[in-house]
Amino acid sequence: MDLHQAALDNNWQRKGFLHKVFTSPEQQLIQEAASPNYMVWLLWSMKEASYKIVNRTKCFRSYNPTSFCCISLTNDRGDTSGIVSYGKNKFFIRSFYGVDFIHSIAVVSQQDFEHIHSHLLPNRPDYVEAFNSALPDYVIRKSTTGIPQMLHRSNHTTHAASISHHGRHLAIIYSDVPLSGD
Amino acid sequence: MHVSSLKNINMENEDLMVIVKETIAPYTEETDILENIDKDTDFIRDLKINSASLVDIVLDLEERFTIEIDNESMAKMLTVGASIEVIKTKLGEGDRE
Repeated sequence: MDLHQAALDNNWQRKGFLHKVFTSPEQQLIQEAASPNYMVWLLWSMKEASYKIVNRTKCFRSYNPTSFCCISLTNDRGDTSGIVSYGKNKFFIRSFYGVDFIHSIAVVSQQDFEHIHSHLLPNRPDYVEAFNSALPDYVIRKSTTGIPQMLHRSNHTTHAASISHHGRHLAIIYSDVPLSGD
Repeated sequence: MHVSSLKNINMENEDLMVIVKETIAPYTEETDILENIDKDTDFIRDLKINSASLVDIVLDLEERFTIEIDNESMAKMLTVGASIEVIKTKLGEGDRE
């Protein structure tokens, strides 16, 4: 997510905002953080990444940010690992940041991280061409249901992918493990 | 009697639709879709409203109607129609108190 865009669009200091988005322990993390602003958007991006999994796997939509609880955050030179719990589900999160962005990846199993690749690009209409010309092995395509996938150029395998964009930033993540069925 | 009460419900929905439309206007750039919204219009898919701004819309609606929208109700508010239903329920709860 683009921190510059978030600052323009969303005033999290508005009365009631934090209460609608964050659990009490999360609000405490924000209060105690060296940069409350950074913590707000870090937690938000962790929740969003997890929401994407739920939305895809359960085909279920709901707007319930407080049901996604960020726990066990650890920080390693600015990059954050953590867990988001959602009902009985647990998602593992890794977040990293740049000058004006935070990028969070959620997976179902820790080992998935070993197979995930991230590609950050400027958010432009021609990002698909930009990505396809930057990577020799993969091309992006959309599945029949509109979900992005990677196609391996030589193996012709399809791979899970996810595209996030916000403000000036765009992130494409994909797995090097073929989807079952290939 | 039956017809007139139905009419009232329709009018009420139309009034609520106008207010919801005014409330979401600052958060969308999809002016053509906004102009033609109906109950099925989706805030994120159709109006391309960013998900953090949905909180602002809920807070704006709370202020506008002097209601409190709990998180369980907010969870449903992905479309114009669902939001109108939540507002009606909350206004009804207020009347009973």
